[in-house]
Amino acid sequence: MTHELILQGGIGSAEVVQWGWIFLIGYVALMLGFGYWGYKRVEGSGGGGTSSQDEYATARGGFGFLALALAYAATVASGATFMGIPALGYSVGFKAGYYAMLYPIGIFGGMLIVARVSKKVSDRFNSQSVPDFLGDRFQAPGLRVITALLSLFLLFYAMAQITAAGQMFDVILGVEYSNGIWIAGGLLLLYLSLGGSHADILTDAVQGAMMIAITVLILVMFAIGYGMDGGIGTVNAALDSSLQWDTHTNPDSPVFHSWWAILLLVIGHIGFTAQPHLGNKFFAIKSNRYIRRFMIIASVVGIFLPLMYLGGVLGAAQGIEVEAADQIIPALFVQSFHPILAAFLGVAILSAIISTADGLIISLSQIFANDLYRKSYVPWQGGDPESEAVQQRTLLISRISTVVLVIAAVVAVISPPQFLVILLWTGIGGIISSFGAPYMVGSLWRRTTVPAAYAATIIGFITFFLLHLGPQAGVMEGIYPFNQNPFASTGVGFLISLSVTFAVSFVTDPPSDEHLEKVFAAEERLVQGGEGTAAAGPEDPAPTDDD
Amino acid sequence: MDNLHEPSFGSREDIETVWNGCTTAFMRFSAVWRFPRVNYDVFSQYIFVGPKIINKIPDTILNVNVLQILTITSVGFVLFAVMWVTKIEEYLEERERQQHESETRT
Repeated sequence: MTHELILQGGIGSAEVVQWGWIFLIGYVALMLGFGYWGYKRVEGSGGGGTSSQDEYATARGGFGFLALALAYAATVASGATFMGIPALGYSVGFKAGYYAMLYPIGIFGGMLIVARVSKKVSDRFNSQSVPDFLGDRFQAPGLRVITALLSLFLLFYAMAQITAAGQMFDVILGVEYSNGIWIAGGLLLLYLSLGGSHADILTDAVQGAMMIAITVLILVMFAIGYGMDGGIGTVNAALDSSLQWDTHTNPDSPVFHSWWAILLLVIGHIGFTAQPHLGNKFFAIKSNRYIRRFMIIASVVGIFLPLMYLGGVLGAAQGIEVEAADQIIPALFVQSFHPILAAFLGVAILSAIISTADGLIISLSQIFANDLYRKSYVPWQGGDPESEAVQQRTLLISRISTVVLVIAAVVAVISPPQFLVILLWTGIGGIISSFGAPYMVGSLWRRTTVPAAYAATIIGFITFFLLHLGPQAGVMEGIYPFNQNPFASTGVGFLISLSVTFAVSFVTDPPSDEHLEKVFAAEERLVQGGEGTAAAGPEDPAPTDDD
Repeated sequence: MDNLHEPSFGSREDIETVWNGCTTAFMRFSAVWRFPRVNYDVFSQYIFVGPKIINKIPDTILNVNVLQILTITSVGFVLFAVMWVTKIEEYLEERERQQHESETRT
């Protein structure tokens, strides 16, 4: 078993395992506390214009800019920041930075474009997810349903996180993978079914702060050439020539194939902010009064965390041998520090993985509860989606679907899927290529039309299917590197979807002026005497200490 | 397959190839589609300046390493974010405010 092999390498030594359990118990206690706090917030709501369901789904207006920025950056980063990205640095050397340091530019660049409008519109229409936002922005119930169904692919993303969590339980705590995934699922259930988005964001914020601390440590270790006789230059010199910093591309690698592939990697991530588990974070900020501070902090933290890839480069320079490249950071810590720190890191990685999984599960639960039931089925049957009875039923569906989704995700990965990355990018790439462009263009440009949003969604997804999904599924051969490079395929899909959004918008009629006025009208805080003197309201609560 | 790894950021020949590709595509496009009010003669003159500029690019830039490129892109992005927040968001909010005022007046 993998665990036994790693024990030989020292990662899962008895002392590390012992301390790992101690930290895990502390972590579970903290999560339970957050879950209970979130439960009180959800159950105690009803005033201030928010319902229990809205609190569960979005934690609307519940957080200041700092906590939310940390939560957003942590959710983007996920377990990949501690495992996949350093593993890439370990395997391909410095050029891994072209993935690690450029993908956040795409994601956080996209976030700058949509954050403020997304918050404003969602507050006005009580939108509780990205598909819901699209349905409300374009007055298109069909678009809400299509994008909600496409978002179901995120279940693969959640499955990938639970698989990674199971592997970490195996590596750090000596728990068999088959048990580890159930413990990870149980942890998620413990606080999510109680506290919903409140628990999700609070745990993510704490994990974001922990991630910053660990990244600082890795950066210092790299800068001083820890464990080596010299600084950064020595690290570079100790690497194989193909891993050194003057090697930029590699035609053999689909991801680093050429400068075009690297450029498409950035473009492919611009629409990443349309992922439902990220888009709903904007709804939780107290007011758009603080959105600028949120944007700056999230951007800086977001581009800082992937510096973790340098830990993988340092591990390669030190000549550390690992069973699988994903284990390089735990191995580096075990080799460099006291077992307590190594154990702490193991639990921090676990929490990072779970921090992404929780956001995904909450977003997925809202597809059933809000997008398909409250905003689609109820109006279709002639009901009022804002009525108290519907809100209560939606909250119940949210909680039940959270439990069902966690169990489904765990059951699906009892045998670790061989092609999880392919499945994972079915969701991510499919979402970005399809509704990433209408989401972003529609947020800024009034002229964006409903037919354009439909056309871009469908054509974007078809493009991604032809370039990547079809070849990966064996339906066709495809074109290299697109058939093996999900990022480049997503980039092309996004660009085509973007072009279709503009082109079709120019030749079709926009939504009614009355509706556009409702969407784009100035916020209360802007029209009541400037930012400092705006009256408090649902869009604009009074500043607090947290702000 | 170490020999397949690109050893430098880009050679002058690579950049010239890209430049020539872009200018050729532009000329072919302009042969079938011309935008009104664009002086194509001026463009034609400057197309030939490209290779001269490429020859003057210092070797230090051509041999820039991964860390240097990523430092520039990261700092550039943070500056872009600051610019977006302080200038673009300010502009968008001001536009919303003005639209509201003009609609209120009418």
